[in-house]
Order: sequence, then structure tokens, then C-alpha cells
Amino acid sequence: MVSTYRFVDDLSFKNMLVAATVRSRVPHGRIISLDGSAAEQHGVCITRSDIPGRDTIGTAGAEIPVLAGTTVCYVGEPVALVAAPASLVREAAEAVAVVYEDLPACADPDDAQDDLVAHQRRGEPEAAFHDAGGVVEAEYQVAACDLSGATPTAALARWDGKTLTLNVATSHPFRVRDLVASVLAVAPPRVRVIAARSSGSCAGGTATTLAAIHVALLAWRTGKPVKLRYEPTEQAESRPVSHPCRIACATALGNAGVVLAQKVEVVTDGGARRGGSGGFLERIVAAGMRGRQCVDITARLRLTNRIPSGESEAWKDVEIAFATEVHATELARSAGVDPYTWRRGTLAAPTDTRGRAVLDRVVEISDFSRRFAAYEATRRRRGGSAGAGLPVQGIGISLWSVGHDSAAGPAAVKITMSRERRATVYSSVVQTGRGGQEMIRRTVAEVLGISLEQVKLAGADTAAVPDSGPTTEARTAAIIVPLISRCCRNLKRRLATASLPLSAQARKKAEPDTAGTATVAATVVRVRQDSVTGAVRCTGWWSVVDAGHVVDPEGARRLVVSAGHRAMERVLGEGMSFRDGRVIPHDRGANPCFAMADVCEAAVELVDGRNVGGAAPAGGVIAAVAAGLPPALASAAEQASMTFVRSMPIAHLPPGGREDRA
Amino acid sequence: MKCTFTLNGKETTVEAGETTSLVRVLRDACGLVETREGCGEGQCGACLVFVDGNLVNSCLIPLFRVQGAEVDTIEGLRDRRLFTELQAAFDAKRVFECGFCSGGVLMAAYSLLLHARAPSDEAIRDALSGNRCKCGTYPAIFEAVQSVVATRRRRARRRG
Repeated sequence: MVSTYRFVDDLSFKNMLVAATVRSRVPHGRIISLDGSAAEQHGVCITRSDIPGRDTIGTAGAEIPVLAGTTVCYVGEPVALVAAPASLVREAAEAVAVVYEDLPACADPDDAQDDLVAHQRRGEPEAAFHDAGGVVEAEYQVAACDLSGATPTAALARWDGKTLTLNVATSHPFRVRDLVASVLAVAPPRVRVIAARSSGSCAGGTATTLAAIHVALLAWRTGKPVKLRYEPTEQAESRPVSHPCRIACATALGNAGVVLAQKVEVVTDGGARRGGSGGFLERIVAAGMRGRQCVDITARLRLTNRIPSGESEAWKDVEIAFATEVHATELARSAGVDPYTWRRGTLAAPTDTRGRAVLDRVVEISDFSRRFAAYEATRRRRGGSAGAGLPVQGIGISLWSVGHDSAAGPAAVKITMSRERRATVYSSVVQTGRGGQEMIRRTVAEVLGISLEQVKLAGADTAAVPDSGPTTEARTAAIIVPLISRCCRNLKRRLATASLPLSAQARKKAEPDTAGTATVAATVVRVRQDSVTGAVRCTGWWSVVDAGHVVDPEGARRLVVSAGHRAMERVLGEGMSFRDGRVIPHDRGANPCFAMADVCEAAVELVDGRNVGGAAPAGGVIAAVAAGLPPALASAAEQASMTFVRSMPIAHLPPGGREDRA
Repeated sequence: MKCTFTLNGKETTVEAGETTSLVRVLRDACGLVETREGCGEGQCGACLVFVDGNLVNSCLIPLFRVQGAEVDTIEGLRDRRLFTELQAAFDAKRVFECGFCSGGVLMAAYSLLLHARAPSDEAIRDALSGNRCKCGTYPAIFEAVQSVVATRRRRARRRG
């Protein structure tokens, strides 16, 4: 029921202090002096020198300071912390005196040097380009975006002299526990993390982790419960964002439009700290290599004086999908064939069987071929002029697959069964939404032969559950659910000879990526463009997703529909911008897709084409559609507007045909 | 300032800065945490409450504006039949994911159905257009409200 939802900001304790973060007001500067003595009159003030243990988080070479030391690198970087009674906390924060010496700041990745470069090559692309009959080149851009959920960043900590208890909305409670322990210089068991409800997203994780560490430091210092909650305006300058990404694609074509080779260059802005961005360059390159025989791909990470990207934000799957799939549509147009036929003809093994199946099916249910031909005929009649009275419509298609790289780490789960045959699942999987919960509960009920009501999920509390690794949608489905299934089978075997109550555990070692579990999704989007304002609106979309065996098909379908609408928001207007190094909040009023009124017809079909005996449950269902929908929408907008759509979000397109095609 | 108003039918006095937003007063001083603060700019609808019968974004209402007013939050609607019907419909349709927007969405739907017996689909969309769901559950929200309207229609037909 609705009334059971509780977020960190909903919790409070007697004698609780409130925390505030003193943040840098300059995009790049040297800290000349930092004086918190005046703040101590109202409460306590903590600076970097007060940290008892590690003063950074992150891996070597990619550290993020817990609090800034001698320099600050972006507006909003945490410099000091204060805790005081609620009525005094603002005064305390304002009493912290910081003097900066301004340093030159870089706000544009084009002005920045490469921080890291990843490069791979297959075949002889130079020779192929030399011999090509034609080359199609284009540059695609995806703007910055805040991917985090709606919940305000918040954390609450209590220190009883022996143990620190933290309530925080994290997707990996054990990681937060270990980080907090290392910052406080105590053994990990002395830190207990209770994962609170969060707003359905792994993004924004770095901000949450820092908030947890900050509030832990203050609770440890004061000995009282302390709550930290970012004000709505503070959220904008404290949460990591997915920074702008630019992708240049060049394709060498042979006779009859055959692709000979491709060159791709990705330039991504990591913000002020490398953080998790570095590790994702290799993934970006790997995604670009997938299915290509002759290719040269380079990914560059540049650092600017903007908020750092977090790990989730650095995963550029949506950006890569946008460039790859819009480019495919442009190649189809240059070859004079429809985008469905083009994609079908260029599919490579091993995804071809599953790819073709979902492509064929989505074309069938969306009536793609007939609609595409009709809209093309209308386009020709418009003939480059506005074409008064003619409907300005378009339809686009994409095909995208998502693997499960995050599955590699170790995981453990435990299940108990009481005398009353009630099962309790102990795992650190964080219950962000209903999808994961349903998958786990249904799996347990099915294997143990009990009803859903007899299955309970224990909360993700590091003092009570084993470490199941980070919670991500694909990982829960691909790793945790099979592990729980194994644990249940073990429990069931023992039930034959032992009496209740019983418990069982299952573990998975760290291992390489689970090959062959990729999800493939084909998506079709139909749009209408306002012939006066040029505004593009989605009028319907269809997805056919091959995710293998799906535990809860109805639930998964609902999640995919929701994800599709979220993706639509991103492509139709949820851009972020920066001025003087500061985030300019979204102009929500101008966003055409924020409201219920913009929800359109959507149809989602789930199929199982893996043919692996139904062993692996679905994973990446949402991610495959979330990445595949934007390029399909952009391609539809291209057909409607007669203008190549190469950037996302689509802030403005000229009304159909009024501007020459780029 | 000291501010006295009627909160969910009971006279309540709180002491806070006069420009403190009503949502913070409700959450921090009154302990009514199901009115949530999302954007703080009146654009997400997570903080919807009734003030003198009007549905308002409580993040935009300063405390001094509710002096002597009647304020009703989601906690005050619990026992009302329409609210329980709505809640049951939202649960049956498995609408919410993270649930952060749930209070505001239910308040908007409640307000709509309080004033319109059988609103059209367009009216439902309009009424809920001030609520933002970051999880994108709009289609399910729409279906849940539609199902309550359909039940009402069936009931009205039976009554003749």
C-alpha cells in the first residue's frame, strides 16, 4: 500500500541534529583559508583535516575527495560540513569562512586535453576507406542529463560509541559500509548500513555515497543522530550528471551500399574528477566494436570544471545507441532503402537470429512498412516546401542489444523457511521498485511450491543480510534471481529429509561477464510534428524485446512502458545546460513530455529467443528499450521534419521542410 | 512566527519562520511525512495538499499564508471512501515503482474525482498533468484512475 513507502527524509530521531554542506562557489580555485571557528558557536564544523581515516573515495588515479583539500574543481564541491539544531544550521553553514584564489576554469570539453584515451581496431579500415565508393559522415551529440531519481539526496547516521548506523538510499549497502569504515578508520563490522527506499535509479550514487560519509563523520563527531538532506536547489549542484557526449561516425560504403568499414570517435566529458568515468571508456569502445568486422574506434575522456560524472552517469549506452542507430538510418537513406530492410540486411552473427525475429515482429505489429511508405510519399509531395495541410508525420526504427557487464562480481544470498512454511529471503538487493521484488518473490514461491504471500524479503541491512553486490536491473535478473533459485532448490532437497525451520545459502564467485545473456530489443516510434511550431510529439511506440525467460511478464511489460516514457522525456527535452560552471536547472515547463497529457499509445511484446532452456531470467529489458527508443524517435522526427536529427534532446526542429536538409 | 491553522480537522499551532514553506512545516514540525518535497518549485506535484479546499503545491505556500486556514494532507484522507477506492485501484494496477510521487498523484486524482463524477479521459490527463513521475508510470496511473471512474459509472447505471 502507498502508506508503507518510507524514504530517508521521512525518518527522524530524538535530539537529532541537522547537517549542511559548505560548497565551493567557484568553478576552480585554491583554498587560501578555511575557518570554521564561528560555525562552532552554533554546532560542529568538520573540514578535511578532521577526517580520521581515508579522505578520498574511488580507485587509484580516480579519487574523489571526501572534502576538498587545497583546491576546488567545480561549483558545489563539498568543502566543509556543519551539524547543528535545525533552527541554527543555516547560520552555522554561513559562518564558515572560505577564501579562494581563482584559477583558470574549463567549461567546455573542446577546450580540454584528453585525460584518458581508449582505442581499438579490427581489420584494415584505412584501406577500406581508400577504396570506398562513398563515405557517409556525421557527428551526433547527446546533451547533459540528470539521470537520478526524484528522491532528495539524504542520509541519517547514529553513533553509539561502538557502532555507526546509517540509513541511506544506496544501491550497494556493503560498499557504502566499507567506504564509511575506511573514512572513520574503524573496522567494517562497526558500521551498519540500512538501505532505505530510493527513487528507482542507480544514478546519482556518488552524491549519495558522499552524503552518507559526510553524515557519518558528523554523527561520529557529535555522538548524536544527524540527518543530511539536500535542499532542492542544492540537488542541482551536488548530483553527478551524465555529461555531454559527442560521437563522430564515418562509414565507407562499397558497391550496392555494402558497409566496408567504420570509424568512430567518442568524446565524453567526465566533469571535474575522473571518478568512475575512466573504467567506462573500454566499455564504450567495446560497444562500438560489437558486430563490426572492419572498424577503428577511439574514445576520449576529457575533464572540465563541471560536476563529476558518477559511475552510472558515465555508462554511455544511450549515447552510443543514439549515434549508432541514427547513423544506420542515415546509411539506409543514402542507400535508398527503408531503415528496416537496411538493418535486416546488415545484421551480423551471433545476434542475427534473435535480431531478425524481433525486427520482423515489431515491423508487423507497428505496421511499419506501410506507414513508412505512406509518410515517404507525403514527404515527396511536400517536396522541400512547407506543404500546407499535409500531415507531418514520421516513423523510425531501431535495434539495440544490452549485455550484462555488471554481473561479474561475487554475490551471496540466504533463505530461511519457518515451521509455518514462510520463506524469508536475505540479500542486499535494494528494493527500488516492484520489478526486482516481484521477480524474487515469484521465483521463491515457484521453486518452493508456496504462495506469494508466504514469501517475505528482508530489508537490505548489512547487519542482517549477506553481500549480494550492487543492485542493478540487469544484475538482479541475471545473477541474483538464478542464485536465489539455486538456493531454493537446495532448501527444497533438504526439506525431504530434514524438518523445519531450515536455512540455506548460495554464493557466486567473481567471474567474467556472462556471455550470451544479452537482451535484444527492436523499437518503432511514430511522431507528429506541429507544422507551425515545429514541436515533435510521439504518437505511439512499439517494442519487441527478446530477454529470454521472463519471471513476471506483466510486471516487466509495465516497467518497459514506463522506461519508454522516461526515454521519451530525455530525447524530447530534458536537457541540462551550464553557465559559469553552474548547472542551469531544467526548464520543466517547456518540456513537452513531462506530463500525463503526453503519454501515447505503447505496445510491448516480450519473446524468448535465447533457446537456452529457459535457464536465465530476463535482464536488461528496460535498458535495451531505454537506449533503443531515442534513436527510433530521432529517425521518425527526421522523416517528419525532413531534417537530419543528430542531437539529443530535440530542443527544436524547424517545421517540416522549411530548412534544407543538413 | 506562531501560526495556527486547522490541520486534518484539528487546530494546530506551529512555530517557524514565516516564509518557511508549508511542506517543510508539515514534514518537520507536524511529522506528516507523506507530503513529500520534490522539486521545491511547484512543478512536480509531490507536495500537493488542500488549503481551504483548493489543491496547492505546498512547497510554494509560505507559512504565514495558512494562518487560520484549513489544511488537509493525504494523512487526513485515509478514512474517506473515495480515497480508499483510489488506493485500492492503484494497488490493483501495481502502479507505483519507487512511490515518491504517490501521495501527490493520489491527491490530484482525489481532487479530480471529488469535483467530477465521471471525468473524461482528457479531464483525467489534464488533472494529473501537474504531477511528475520520474519512474514514468503515467500509463498505469491513468489506467488506475480510469478504473475508478468506470466503477463509478457501473454503480450509477445499477442505481438507474
